[in-house]
Amino acid sequence: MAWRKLRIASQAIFFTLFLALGVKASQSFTGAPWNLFPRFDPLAALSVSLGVKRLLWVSFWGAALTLGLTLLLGRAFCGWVCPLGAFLDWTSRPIPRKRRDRGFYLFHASFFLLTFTLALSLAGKLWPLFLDPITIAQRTLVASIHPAVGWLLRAAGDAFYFIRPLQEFVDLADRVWRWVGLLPQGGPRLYRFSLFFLAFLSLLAFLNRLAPRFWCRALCPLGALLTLVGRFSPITVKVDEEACTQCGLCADLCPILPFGADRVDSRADCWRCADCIAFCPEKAVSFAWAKPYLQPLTFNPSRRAFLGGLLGAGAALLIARSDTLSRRNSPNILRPPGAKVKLSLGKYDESEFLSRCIRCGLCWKVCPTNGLQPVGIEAGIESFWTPILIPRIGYCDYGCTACGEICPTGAIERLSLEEKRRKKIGLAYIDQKRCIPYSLHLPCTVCEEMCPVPEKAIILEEREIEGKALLFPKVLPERCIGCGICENKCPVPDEAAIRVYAPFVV
Amino acid sequence: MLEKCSRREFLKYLLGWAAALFLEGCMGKTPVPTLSPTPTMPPTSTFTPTPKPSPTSTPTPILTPSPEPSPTSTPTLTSTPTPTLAPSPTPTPLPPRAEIAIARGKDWEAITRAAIEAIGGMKAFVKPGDTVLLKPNICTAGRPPEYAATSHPIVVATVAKMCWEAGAKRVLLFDLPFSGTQEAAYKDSGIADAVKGLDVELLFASPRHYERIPVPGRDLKEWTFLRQALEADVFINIPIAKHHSEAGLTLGMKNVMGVIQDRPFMHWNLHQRIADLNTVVRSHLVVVDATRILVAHGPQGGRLEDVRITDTVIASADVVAADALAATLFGRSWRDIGYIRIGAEMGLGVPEGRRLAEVVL
Repeated sequence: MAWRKLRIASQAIFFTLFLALGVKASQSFTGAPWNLFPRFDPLAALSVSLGVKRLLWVSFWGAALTLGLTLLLGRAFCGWVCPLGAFLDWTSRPIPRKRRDRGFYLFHASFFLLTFTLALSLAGKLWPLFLDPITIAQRTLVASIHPAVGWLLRAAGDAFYFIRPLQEFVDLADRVWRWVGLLPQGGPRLYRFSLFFLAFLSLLAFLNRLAPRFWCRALCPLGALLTLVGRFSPITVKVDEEACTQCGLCADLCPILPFGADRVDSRADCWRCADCIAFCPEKAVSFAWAKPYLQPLTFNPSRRAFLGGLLGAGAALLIARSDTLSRRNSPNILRPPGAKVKLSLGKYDESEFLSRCIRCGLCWKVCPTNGLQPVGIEAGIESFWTPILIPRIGYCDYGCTACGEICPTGAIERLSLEEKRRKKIGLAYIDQKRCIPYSLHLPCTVCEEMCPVPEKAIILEEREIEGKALLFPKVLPERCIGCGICENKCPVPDEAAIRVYAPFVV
Repeated sequence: MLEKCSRREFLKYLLGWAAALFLEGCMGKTPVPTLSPTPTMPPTSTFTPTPKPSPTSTPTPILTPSPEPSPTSTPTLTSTPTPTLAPSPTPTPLPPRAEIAIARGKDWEAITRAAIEAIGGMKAFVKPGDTVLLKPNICTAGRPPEYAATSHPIVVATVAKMCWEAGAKRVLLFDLPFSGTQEAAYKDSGIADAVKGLDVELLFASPRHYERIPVPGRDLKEWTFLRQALEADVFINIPIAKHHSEAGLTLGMKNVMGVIQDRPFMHWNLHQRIADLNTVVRSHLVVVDATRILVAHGPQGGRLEDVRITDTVIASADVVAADALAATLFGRSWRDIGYIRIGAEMGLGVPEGRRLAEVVL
């Protein structure tokens, strides 16, 4: 049977599905199917469950399914499903003429990273999940590739729009792109760090030059987890001793066998790619059922990786704690409505949010105004790439609950529209030094006009100034929900004259 | 031939193409609109034909030249001077066609039709083969029609139907909300559903659809406008009558702000700039949706307590007249609303004295 072709087809299908879901996910398309991939990610599930100290079945039944199938099929997820794996497969040399095992010493690093990730999760820090392959793929798609394609389509459309007879066609094409999701409402997207995300993906592709799919075999923490579970798989690779001529081709092709092996054998790391089966000149290799047994690991992680991971996690915790950034001292951290952040006496407790957010970036994608952005280190080292709202880029739409609906882990709670409209995510402050009526004595009431709160959180006070009546905007703190549309629309250029800061709670 | 094309030839073609584009660019842009030759009347004259040439040739004043309505009492006259409803195909035009019509009634589709019929029917505005742009007020997403923040879908759909009946070639619909996406706004306002099946093209804005052109205004010298609004044969303005914090009321002239860019910057001199915009984007027909009006916390509203059901539609080819009449629904005079007053001064229309038809259904 053409296992290899089947595998390639499966990769293509899942990759296309991944792209389709990621590209189409938007304000109008949130909820269950659109966050499918993160929800089938066992590492994310395990980390979040460790982080909140209970199993999140509801969010992650898909991850349980992945683990169950891994128990049966071994690490087939890596070879057949993983979108990052597929990408790295296609950017590797298809059949290396000569095996190259450079970077061999790194081959047990994945177990170190797995231990590191899980140990930090237990402490409620999920930032190592930026190394999870599903979140890498999702984030890069959302913040780099999708916007880049959008800008490309915009530029191409603009170029052809100069030619009058083609204008209708360009508009039609735009309509198609919009339907597909490649050209979002309000134009192509902008993201902070988009270049960085792309560079990271490129780095992973570049690592293929050390060995095919170097990332997957040596570094991927999810791969390490699947290896540990897949050791019990009853499906093995069997070599027919009679037919085998010891030519060594299968061992050359195998992406996981260590250097020097002369033929494949059944290993826990095997991701069932079936290259050995397809290319064996004697047709001597095949999948076979075996009694479930503990398949050997290509690299025994042993105590060293485990202890190293724990030690590293401890060190990371302490270092992050000693940094001033751990105080979360930027006033510009506006979390999306429903983010599991507690506020009391002017202090922010983000621990639950940080122990749930896996940095997949889907909330950035569905935010209709593009306002949700990855945060750098300004919210603390441990919360990088979690979402914050940057009102100058986009405000929190009063009629939208998309981020809470798409969040696969419940880091952003699912709120009803009514609840969301009462959720305070920040507070607007008027900067009287820049505000047009206050500083220039010219009329302007844009912020009041934009305020979506039905009874208006910004009111206008009429005052006599230099002999004429002028309206001055004033924020009512008890009404303001911090959606940021006032800051977004403020006509004062660059830095707005009304700005939203983290909510102040007494 | 293609495979024979050498690099040199290819570059030559490219050069020629670029030159052609350049020449096309030199041929001149869209004509600069100027104020003087516009078909509006001087502010003092009382009776003049509507901007779109309609069969009314001899203006003989018969009908009520409505005096300025008092601020407190909304016009509740029940006399129906021109019951031009029943025989809608009127090949023989009655000479004294009303110039502005106000229709009241519970059936909002019927009053929309009645108001437009009373000023000559859609055929007076839309000629067969015309491209029509409908510009309802859909200022924000997330507000269903009952909140009176957006033009009512029934009124919009009725106007669209009437355009098709008059023989329009294309009917486009556009507004750019300041809050939420266009897609969500079209949907939430109920307008997307209402025009479904009517073959109305919902336009989605992209920067390339906008053009920066000179404005013959008192304040604005140039601004960026939606190209379709400039190029459409007929621009039908369908505002909802509602409260607006800075402008006082938002009506037809203010509604034109939906087809421009950089809207926050309008507010530096709002009333004058609104009037200036109207020198470029002339509303061929204004249908003021006052089926329900928002009397406070505009323009977005959000409280049903601020909504009044008024069951009224006003139609006119004169945006100033339509706005002036609609202002009376709020008990306000057009003199209180800066942009209407300035519009009248600039000769964009006549706020009062238009031949009025009242229809009560």
